Amino acid sequence: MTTHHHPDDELLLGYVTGALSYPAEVVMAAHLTLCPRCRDAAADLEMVGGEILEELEGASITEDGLTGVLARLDEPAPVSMVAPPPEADSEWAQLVPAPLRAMAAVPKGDLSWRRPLPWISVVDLANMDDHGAAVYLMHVRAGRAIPRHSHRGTELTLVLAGGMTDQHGHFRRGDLLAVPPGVTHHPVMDDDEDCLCFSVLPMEKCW
Amino acid sequence: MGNGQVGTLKQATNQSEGFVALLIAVAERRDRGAFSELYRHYTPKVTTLAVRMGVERSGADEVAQEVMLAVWRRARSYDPTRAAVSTWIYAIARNRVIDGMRKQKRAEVDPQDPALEQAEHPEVEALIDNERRAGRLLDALDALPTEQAEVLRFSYFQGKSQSLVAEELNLPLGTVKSRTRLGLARLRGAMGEAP
Repeated sequence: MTTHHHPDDELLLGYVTGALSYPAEVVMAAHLTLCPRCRDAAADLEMVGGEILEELEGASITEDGLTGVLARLDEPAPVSMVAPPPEADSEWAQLVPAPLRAMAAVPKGDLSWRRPLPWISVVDLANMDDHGAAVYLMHVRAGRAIPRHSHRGTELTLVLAGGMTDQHGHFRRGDLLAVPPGVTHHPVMDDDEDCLCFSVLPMEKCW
Repeated sequence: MGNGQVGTLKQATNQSEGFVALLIAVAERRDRGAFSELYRHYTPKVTTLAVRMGVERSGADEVAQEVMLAVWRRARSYDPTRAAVSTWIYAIARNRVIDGMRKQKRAEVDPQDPALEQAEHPEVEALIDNERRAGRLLDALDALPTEQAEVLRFSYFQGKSQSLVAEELNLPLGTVKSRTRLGLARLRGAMGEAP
């Protein structure tokens, strides 16, 4: 698999420096999971962060501080990683990147799907009030379309399965579609496979 | 490149190779002396980074100490073929600051993820030479036009969107974007350059 549609510098830099909202950060971490090229680009920007850290100066440490930390070295480590929930469906785990599975917080079988249109099923992954954005997984039947829509903020959509086409191009697994505010689009799904994608729509839902 | 710059680069490279050795000593031998040296070097820098990223001064020391504890605990996961020591510590510090500011943990790629797409042609040469690339990058950062360096540093320190960077530097958004793009292009050129 080779991805053809990648995030721009602003999104990559925003991801590396921690400037993105949590949902946009999840889109980026999921894209990076599927795109070795952007993983390398992000690693380079992280290296810039390392050098900027290296340039910084600060007040010298206190011996008390060092002694305190040395005394804590043998403390048991807190559990810090948020792992995705145990996933019984291994096909799902291969399809949906871990950062997104962690955001969904439940295994595939417990996802609650709604059906805004007969050919579209949606799982809401986050409360809009928490993030100021609509965040969802969407399944669209092969050959069908998502109704023409636009949005106030930049829409980020990551294709996980199948493919879709709009005026920006043809998007397949791993491709990231960033639609600027105010731009209207009308994505049509590939004929040969149902499409699964992850979308973040800031501000409001328009359809 | 003048002699002075060669000297700085060599110094920086030697120093960073020393940090790799220290971190490996921590990983393999649980060497407290080596850890103390890393602590002395990085704690003040991490404290300053935390403050620049918006942590209150009173809480920044604690954040830095937790970052250094994480360095001790996770030393075995450090892979010198994948990242320079400063890069690795930067990522730990950034994640700790983000985790302290919001409810959700930082979203990161999981190297064990069944969904992970492997690189078809691992760029082994680029990967094994991280410390040298970091040295070149440090030089390139020094050589950046001031206005590009300012915008870039500001992005890393504040962890803010480009529009907020523009607001705080009192610059048009388009200027911030173009300076960022030009600055990153130069840094990438320096990192990709043949040694």
